[in-house]
Amino acid sequence: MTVRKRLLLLMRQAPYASNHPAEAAEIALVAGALDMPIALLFQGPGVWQLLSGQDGSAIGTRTLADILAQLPDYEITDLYVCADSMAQFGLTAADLTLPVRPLSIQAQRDLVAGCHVVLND
Amino acid sequence: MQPDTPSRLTFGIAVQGAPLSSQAPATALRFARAALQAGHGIHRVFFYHDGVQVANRLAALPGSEASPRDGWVELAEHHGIELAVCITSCLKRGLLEGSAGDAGATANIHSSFVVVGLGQLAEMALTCDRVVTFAA
Repeated sequence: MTVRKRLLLLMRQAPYASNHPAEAAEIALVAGALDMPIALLFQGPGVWQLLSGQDGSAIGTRTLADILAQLPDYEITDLYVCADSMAQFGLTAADLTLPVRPLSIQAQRDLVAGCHVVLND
Repeated sequence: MQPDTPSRLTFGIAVQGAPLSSQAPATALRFARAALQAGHGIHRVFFYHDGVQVANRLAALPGSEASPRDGWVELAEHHGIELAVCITSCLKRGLLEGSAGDAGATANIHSSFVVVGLGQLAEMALTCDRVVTFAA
């Protein structure tokens, strides 16, 4: 293997409408455990995945924010959020459970173009 | 930007959507056939989420409907492609391996599919030139 491939996970879905976001978060942890460079971009309703104060036990499921909170333990710190989506939903950095970098649409295009593999939740 | 584009690509295919209630497995199958016909290679097809239902050997469709499972099995056998199903997704949906349960009597995963973990999805992403996802 000559090039270290960089993986991007697009997190686009609301946190509790399906188990897709939780399983995508697990893919991130597996990739992190394999020491693969990985970034996560939260877009659209996916920004709600980052909301503080989640409690999945109320609906008998895991708390997605708890899974995402493990990302820094796997040295996954390339975490980005769509700035427009944040504004659209009236969210600010203070509402979120992890430190994420807001990106413009153009910066998101550049991020996608700079990654070898893009998977979505 | 994507680094150099060789004329022959090795694809990894990720199938998330269920057969019947989504078009994902059938569309992925047509994509795979087209890619092979164009001279490209396919390293692995990774089924997860509802996509694992493709591997159910007990599913029976009327003759007028093409079975995505049979299509994948035929393609995989002809071209030596690995058909991999995510173990977690399978267990959550009652899909069992030959070695599980009561001596295989309840096993319903078709023998052409291998049961793997999410690490194989990451490995596929590392190994292949391109990964294409077919979601629901």
